Amino acid sequence: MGEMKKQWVLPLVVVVLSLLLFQIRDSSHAFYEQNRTQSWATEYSATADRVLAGAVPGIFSDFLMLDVFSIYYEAQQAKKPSEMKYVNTYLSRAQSLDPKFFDVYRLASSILAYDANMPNEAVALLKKGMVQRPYVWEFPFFAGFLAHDLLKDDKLAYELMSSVADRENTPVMVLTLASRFLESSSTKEDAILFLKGLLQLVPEGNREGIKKRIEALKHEEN
Amino acid sequence: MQWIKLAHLTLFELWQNRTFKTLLTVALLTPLLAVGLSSLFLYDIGKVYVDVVAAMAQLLAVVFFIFLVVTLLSRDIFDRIVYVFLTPPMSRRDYYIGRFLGIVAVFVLLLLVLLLSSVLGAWLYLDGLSDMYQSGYKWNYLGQLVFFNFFQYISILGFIFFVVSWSSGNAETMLFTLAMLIFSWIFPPVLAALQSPDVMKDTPEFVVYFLQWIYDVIPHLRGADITLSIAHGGSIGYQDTFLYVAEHILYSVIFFALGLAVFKRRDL
Repeated sequence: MGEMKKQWVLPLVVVVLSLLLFQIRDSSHAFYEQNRTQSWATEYSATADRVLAGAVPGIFSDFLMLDVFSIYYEAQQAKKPSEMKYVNTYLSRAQSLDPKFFDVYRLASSILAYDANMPNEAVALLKKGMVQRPYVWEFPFFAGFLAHDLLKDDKLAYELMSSVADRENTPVMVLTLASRFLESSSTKEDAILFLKGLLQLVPEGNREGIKKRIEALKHEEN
Repeated sequence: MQWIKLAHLTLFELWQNRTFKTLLTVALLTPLLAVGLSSLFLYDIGKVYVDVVAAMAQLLAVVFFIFLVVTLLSRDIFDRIVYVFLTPPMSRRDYYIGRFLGIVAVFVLLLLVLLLSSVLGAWLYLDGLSDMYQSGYKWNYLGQLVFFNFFQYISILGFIFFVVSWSSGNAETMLFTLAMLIFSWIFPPVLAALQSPDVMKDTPEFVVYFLQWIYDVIPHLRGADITLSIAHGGSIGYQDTFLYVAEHILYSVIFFALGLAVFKRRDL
């Protein structure tokens, strides 16, 4: 009788484990189903990125930036502008891994704002940059300009640009431009001048959105 | 003093190893990879250069410990090569110390080659760029990076000697070493996430005490903080450096002493 009972132990364990496996698989399946309704590329976990990156978050951040470049070229060359919606996610992930990475903020103020048409997200990223790099004048200035030019929110632009003067090494030309924006006496020419300056700071391959904006401002001026 | 002879032999043995020579070649070629990758970026070119060196330092260390150190110690013990060494006057203690110091010397050599080639690459490439592209790069910061990397892996080496003293085979030693490497890689960010205020407010009190206890035991200065700080031209303070070095030496000594105590009683 004892032998008989022992014979049933292994199959019983197998059945219980199989049921457990099915249960886990079903709940896991439900998890993926739920997530498929969201976009994997626009929802991400900063903690998961940090865990994966371990002791070298810098290089992971660099690879995410390379992804941004490839998304941009795919959107431009394969004529898939919808791809640009992922740029914000990749820039945010790169920023989260390496909060002082200058290139993230530079691309936020150019590609993200003008090519992906996400000025709100660009300003939000630049605001984070203002905290991480309190001595850099470009971030509040660019954020203020985006608030003025694209968001048409002069109150926010005032708030952001007024902090430019507090930062070290701010060029006089920038202070003059900032004060014009603050006084609301800026003209379209000032905006074109600023965007032309920004063009010089962005690599040749990433200038499309800014050029379009300059053209649009020129048309508005005429 | 038999351990000095074994340390010399270990140095010679690993130097002759083809895998080690491959690692040295990779260390020599790292600046090329760093220059190639950093040239794709707009501003933080110096930062990307240091990122690549930091990543390669980690990769070389992991390959060195898993494929060279674990294999060497496993071959000694499980293929019975240790019998050749453990004849009078060499004791088991001499064997353990000699092997440990020999491996440390070879690891230092590997990191020095990486440091020298990276500094040379930076001198040829980064020094020619204007300050705004260098991200505050200084050659001695690369030295700091390699210095911290060395102590991080010294504690892993102590752990390998501990595992080898009781494990029953090569696969088991490799499994536990790999588990320790993965643990040391992912645990600090996981702990930081668990200790964030958002998570802490829903965490039971006894778990909070437990997390705090773990936090007190592991070094507070994390590898990620070191690499990010150095890549952006910031050095690590003397106090933090001292604590980091002291903590890692302590782990290494504890694991090594435990391993030696077990190894002395092991039936070979």
